[in-house]
Amino acid sequence: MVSASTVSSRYKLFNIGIVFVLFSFIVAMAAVNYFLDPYGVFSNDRYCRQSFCNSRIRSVQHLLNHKRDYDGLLIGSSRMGLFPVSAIEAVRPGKRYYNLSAFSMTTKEIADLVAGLDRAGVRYHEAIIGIDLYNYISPPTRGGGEYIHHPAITGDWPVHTWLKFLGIQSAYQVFSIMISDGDDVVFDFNTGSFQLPRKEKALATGTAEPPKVRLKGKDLPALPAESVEKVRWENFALLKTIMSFMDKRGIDSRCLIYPHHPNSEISLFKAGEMDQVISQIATICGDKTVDLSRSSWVAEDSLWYDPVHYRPLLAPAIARAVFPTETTTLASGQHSGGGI
Amino acid sequence: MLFSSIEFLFLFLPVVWVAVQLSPSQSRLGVLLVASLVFYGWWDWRFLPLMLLSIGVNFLIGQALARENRQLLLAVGIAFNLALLGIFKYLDFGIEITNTLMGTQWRYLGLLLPLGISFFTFQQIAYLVDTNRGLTAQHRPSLGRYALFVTFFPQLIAGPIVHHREMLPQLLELEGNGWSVKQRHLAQGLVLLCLGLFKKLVIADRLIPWIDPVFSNPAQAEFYSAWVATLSYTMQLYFDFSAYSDMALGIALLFGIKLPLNFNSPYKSASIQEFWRRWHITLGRFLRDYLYIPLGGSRHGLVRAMLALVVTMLLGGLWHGAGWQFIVWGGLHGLMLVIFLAWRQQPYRLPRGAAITITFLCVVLAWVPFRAESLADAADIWAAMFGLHGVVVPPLWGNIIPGLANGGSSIFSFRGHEALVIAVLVIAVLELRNAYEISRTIRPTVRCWARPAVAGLAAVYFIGAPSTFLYFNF
Repeated sequence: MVSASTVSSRYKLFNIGIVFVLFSFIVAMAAVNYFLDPYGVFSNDRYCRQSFCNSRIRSVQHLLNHKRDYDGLLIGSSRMGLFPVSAIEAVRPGKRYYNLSAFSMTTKEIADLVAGLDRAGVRYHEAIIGIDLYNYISPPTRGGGEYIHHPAITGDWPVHTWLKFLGIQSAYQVFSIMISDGDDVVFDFNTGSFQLPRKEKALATGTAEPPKVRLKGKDLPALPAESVEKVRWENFALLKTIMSFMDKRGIDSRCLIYPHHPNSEISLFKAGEMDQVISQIATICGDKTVDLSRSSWVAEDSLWYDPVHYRPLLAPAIARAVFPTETTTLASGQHSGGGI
Repeated sequence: MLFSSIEFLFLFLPVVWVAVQLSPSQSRLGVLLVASLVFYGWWDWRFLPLMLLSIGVNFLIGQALARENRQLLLAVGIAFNLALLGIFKYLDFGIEITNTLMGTQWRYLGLLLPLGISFFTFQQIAYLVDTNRGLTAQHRPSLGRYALFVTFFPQLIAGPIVHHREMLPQLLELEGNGWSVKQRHLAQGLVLLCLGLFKKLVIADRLIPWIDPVFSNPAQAEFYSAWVATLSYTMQLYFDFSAYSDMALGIALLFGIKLPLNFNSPYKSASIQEFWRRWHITLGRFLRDYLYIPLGGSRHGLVRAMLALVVTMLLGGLWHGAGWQFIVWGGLHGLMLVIFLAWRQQPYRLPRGAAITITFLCVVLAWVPFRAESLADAADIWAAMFGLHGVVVPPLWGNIIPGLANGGSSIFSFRGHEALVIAVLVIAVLELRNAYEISRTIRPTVRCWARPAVAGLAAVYFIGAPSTFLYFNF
C-alpha cells in the first residue's frame, strides 16, 4: 500500500516533469529563434539570406531610425522590391529614395504602412505606389513570420511582437539555411531594395534554365483557390484611402501598375476584367497613373527571372516611364503609351 | 491573450499562479480578480468599463432581489442584460432587417462585439433569475467574489457558462486558511492543458486550408471539395471549441477550481437529443433551464414541447451570431429534435451504430449554414455535397484506381489524401477517450506522463502560428 504522501510526491514529480519539459522546449525554441534569427528581426543579418527574412520589420525600423532622411518612398510587392533605388534617383536628381517594398505586399498593407509611418513621424514628399494586378484577383497566402509587421505599424505592444518571433516555428527556415549553398535573396536595408544573386548569376553564366515565361495552361503558377474569378474590389477603396492620405499630406504620389508579362498571371483575368480593374485604378489615381501592364517592350524573355519578376535591367526604363518629364526621351520602342 | 499564446502560457499563467500561491488567504481572490481584469483588458481595454458596468448593475440588482422577490426588478435586470447584448451584437442585424423590409436606409453602427459578452451576459441572467427564486441565499457573494465569479479568466471569453452554485462555494473556499491545490488536481489540469493545446494547435488550426477556400467560393465547390470542407469544419469546430474548454477546465484546476464539463465526445451521440447533452453542455443547460422549461418544457404535451424546442433552438442559434444562417442552423436543430421526439413515440429503435452515423451526418449537414457566410453560400455547398455541382475525382484517387479518373477539374487544390486524414479524425473522435476522461484516470506513471508531455511539446512547436478560437466570435 502506497501512502498518500508518496502518491502526492509522485504527482508532484509528474507535474514538475511536464512543466520542465515544456519550459525547456520553449526556451530552446526561443534561443534558436534569437541566435539564428531566420526572420532577421533581431538584427542578425548573417542568416537573413532567404525570402522568409522579414524585410517588412527591418525596412520600417530603418525608416524609424531615419525619419526625415528620405525624399521619397517606393512601396509595393517583390516586383518593386527588386527595383534598385538608384534607378529612380537617376531620374530624380538630388532626391533620396527608400524602397519599402516586401514580398507579397498587399494594398491593405500599403495603407497600413502609410498610416503607421505617418503616426511614427516619418516624413517624405514623394511616393511611388506599386500596383500588382495579381493583388486585385488574389490575396497571397499568408501566415509566416515574414508577414508580421513592425509594432509601430500594427500598434501592437512591442514586447508582444518580439515574443511572437521568439516562439515562432522556424525548423523549416533553419533547415533551409543549413542546406543553402548560397544567397537566394540579398536584402540591403540601407536602400530597402533586394536582389536575387543566385538567379542573376545563373542567368549571367548561362548555367541555368532560361527564365520560363511562356506559361500555358497547367504550367500557370498555382493561385490560391479562393480568389480565382473573384476580383477583390475592396482593394480599390484601400487605394483611394492611400491616395487621399497622400494628397492631404502633400505627398506627390504615383500609381505604378507594374509591367506584367502577357503570359503571366494576368491571363487569369476574365474577359474585360483587367480593363475594368485598370480603369478603376486610373479613376482613383488620375493623371498619376503609370500603366505598364501591357507594354510591349517588357515581353522580352531575357528581362525576366520568372513569369512574375522582371530583372532590375528594366528599372531605368520603368523609372523614365514614371517620371517622363524628368528625362529626355525613352529608348526607342520602349514606351507603349504607359504614362496615362 | 489566447490560452495558446506564448505570453499567456509562459508569462501570464505562471506569474498569476505563483502570485496566488504566495498570497495570504484574504488576498487570493483579489489577485485572481485583478489577473482576470488584466486578461480581459489585454484584448481591448475599451471593453473593460462595459464589463465592469454589467457586473456592477447585476450585483446591485442581485442584492435587491436577494432581499425581496420582485418580478419587476428581475425584468429590469434581464432587460438590461439583453439590451447590452442587443446593442452590441444584434443592432446592425436589426437595421439590416428593417432596411430590407421597410426600404429604409438606416446606417449600420458597426460596433465592435465585446469579447465574451454572450457568455457573461447569460451567466448573470441565470444568477438574477435564481436569486429571485431564492436559490442563491446560501452563498450570497460579496462584490469581489461576484466579480470573480463573472470574470474568472479561464472561463471568461468562451465559457463554460458557469452557474453560481458551481463557482461561488469554491471561491469561498479559495479565501479559506487551509486552501491549497492538490497535486493530483494540478496533474489533471496540466494534462487537460497539454491535450487542449494539442487539439487546438496541431489539429484544429491545420484544417483551415481545407475549409476557407471552399467556403469562400461555394459556387465553385463540387462533390469532393464540398465534403472535404464541411467534414474538415466539423472536425475543426469540435477540436477548436473542445480544446478551449479543456484548457479552461485545466487552467481552472491549476487554481483548485473545478469548472463544469462542456464537451463529452458529442460526435459519439446516437440521437440529436444526446448530441445536445454532449455538445456545449453548459449552453444546453442554460437554454433548458432558463428558456425551454419556462416555455413549458415537456409538461404540457408533445406538441407544446416540440414548439418550445423549436423556439429554444432558434434563439440558441441566434445566440451564436447575428445572421440568418445561425437562425437556420438553430431551426434545423430544432427540427431534428422535433423529429427525434416524434420518432421516440414509436417502439422501433435503430442499432446504435446506425443511429450514431445518422446523427453525425445530420449534424455535419447542419454545420454548413453555421460556417457559410450567407444562406445562398450554404445552399451552394449543400448542392455540391449532393452532387449537383458535379463530381471531380482528386488526382490521388485517379492514380490509384485508373477507372476513376474523369478528366474533370476543380479550382481547389485537393489531392485526395484529405479523405484519409478526415477519416482518421472521425475514427479518433468516435473511438478514443476524450481529454476529460483521460485526465480523470491519470496516474503518476511514466506512461501516463508521456502522452501529455509529447502532446504539449508538439503544440508548443506551433505556438507561434497565427491563431484564434472560433467561439470568440459568438
